[in-house]
Amino acid sequence: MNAKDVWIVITAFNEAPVIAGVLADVLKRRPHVVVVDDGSKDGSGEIALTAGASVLRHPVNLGAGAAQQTGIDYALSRGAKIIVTFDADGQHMASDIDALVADLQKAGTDFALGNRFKGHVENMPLMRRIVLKMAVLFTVFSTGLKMTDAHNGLRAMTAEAARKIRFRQNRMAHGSEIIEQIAKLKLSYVETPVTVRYTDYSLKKGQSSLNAINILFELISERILK
Amino acid sequence: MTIQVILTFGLALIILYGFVQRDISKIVSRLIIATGSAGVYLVWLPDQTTVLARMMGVTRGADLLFYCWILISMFLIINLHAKSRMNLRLITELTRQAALTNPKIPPNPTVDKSGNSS
Repeated sequence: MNAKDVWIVITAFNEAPVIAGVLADVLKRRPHVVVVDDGSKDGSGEIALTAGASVLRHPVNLGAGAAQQTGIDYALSRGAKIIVTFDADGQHMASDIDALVADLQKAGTDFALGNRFKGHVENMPLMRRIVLKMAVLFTVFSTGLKMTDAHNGLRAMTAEAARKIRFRQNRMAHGSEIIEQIAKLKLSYVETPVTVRYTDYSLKKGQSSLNAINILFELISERILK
Repeated sequence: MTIQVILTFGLALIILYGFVQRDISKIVSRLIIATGSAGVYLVWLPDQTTVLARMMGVTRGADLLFYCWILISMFLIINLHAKSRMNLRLITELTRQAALTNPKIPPNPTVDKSGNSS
């Protein structure tokens, strides 16, 4: 497998201050990067295009889950054999992409899930750590899967696995949804230690810890009304 | 008497709406018609609410109506929520197709023949 077979999917909503820097790092390592501009109003899509990424634009903001599904669909249509999802806010390290792809191939699993708690975390607020640990408990309880970082946006998947999963949660609940689908479809996974770096920008831009309540509500209503 | 006529007119419109809905969902249509008809019945025979209330273990007819109103409101909220989700899925699919049919490829791709970026 060569570099052409790996596609990086990055979703962006108003990420103009950081997207160029993130793409510069990623494009140094992987040539095929698709940015899904999820209705940004700050020119994120244009900056991404200039930086050298392919860009898909949602005319309206749908949320990270919907944008990620669009990016995955596009990567599959372009013949991707491995798809890596990567955050646009600068939290993830481009060097971890190689580790995820290597683990995925070495273990022969459907997914390689980035794990910050087995890897390295910088500047994580205490409240965020507590919420993430509670999310892990919820995931273990609801899916039976044993994992220690259930909501890391940095993950790699094979094309076969990508075709099997389908995000129905448009917004942030897709992080839980993907784990639920891995459990339901009995897909295999390996956890790869990665670095997550919390910056003032990413903390300001990212979701509030209280949003966990909304995510829980979305997951429950999805189960009731699906 | 005046309020009974006004309420009956309003409930008749709801029953009519229930009939119109039968092609969309038979269950919802029947529920609307049954609720509207029960409303007309109780508007003209209000003492029956107390009889029904006592049969169901509630002291006052007004309390029974209040409980029924809460149940109906909850049903309507869930129904609206489900419809809203369905519409959101349609919007998502439309938006996704619009994005996928119009990808923007970088003008100067930095990819060499081997697939490595320069």
